[in-house]
Amino acid sequence: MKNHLLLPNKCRLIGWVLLPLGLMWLIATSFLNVTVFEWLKVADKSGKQKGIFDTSNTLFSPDFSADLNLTFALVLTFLGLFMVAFAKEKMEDEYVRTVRLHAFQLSVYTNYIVLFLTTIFLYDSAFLVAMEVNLFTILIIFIAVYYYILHIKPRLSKSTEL
Amino acid sequence: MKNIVKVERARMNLTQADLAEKVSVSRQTIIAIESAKYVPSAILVLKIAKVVGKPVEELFELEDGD
Repeated sequence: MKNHLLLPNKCRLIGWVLLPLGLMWLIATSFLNVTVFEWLKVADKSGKQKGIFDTSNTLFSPDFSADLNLTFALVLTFLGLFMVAFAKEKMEDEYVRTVRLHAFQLSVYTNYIVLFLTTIFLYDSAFLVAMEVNLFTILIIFIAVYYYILHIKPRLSKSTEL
Repeated sequence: MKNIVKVERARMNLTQADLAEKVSVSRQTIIAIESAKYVPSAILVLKIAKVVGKPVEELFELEDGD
């Protein structure tokens, strides 16, 4: 049974190139407060004060304002993670499909466990920050489990001899 | 499910990569089967049996709880 929803194998390499670029950009923008590209900052010309829950600030609104550095950093990071996670193996077979399903199931479970815990234990902006971080858990856990079972574990196992 | 794929492969002087190529799977799949971490499909079992020249029931054996 072929899975036509997977990306070509070469996307994995592109993903591994995009991912560190996106992560570095994200860390610089979010944690170090560095504006990587000043021209990506779109200032609001109306001078209105906007709250964190302002739902009118979309790309299509006339008084749109945002730091697009964060937008591009997130897009690049997600794109990198997505390409690494869902690129085909050189040899796709039934075992690879089983491992992929197992890793996917584990990552979705983890995502929901984190969701439950953050809902119960965190409030206000702490909750929002945790939810932002949780956006990455599905793909990160998936990649970690999938790569560990398929590529790292066989190298550590004694049965790799011959 | 227990199996003697590793023994029969060695008897045939095949490496894991050789067997993987002959049955059109990855080497990781052969490693997982030999270490009993993965139970292969009927198609793959029949292919392996054909390559090593042994009947399926000699290569694979059910365990208690299977």
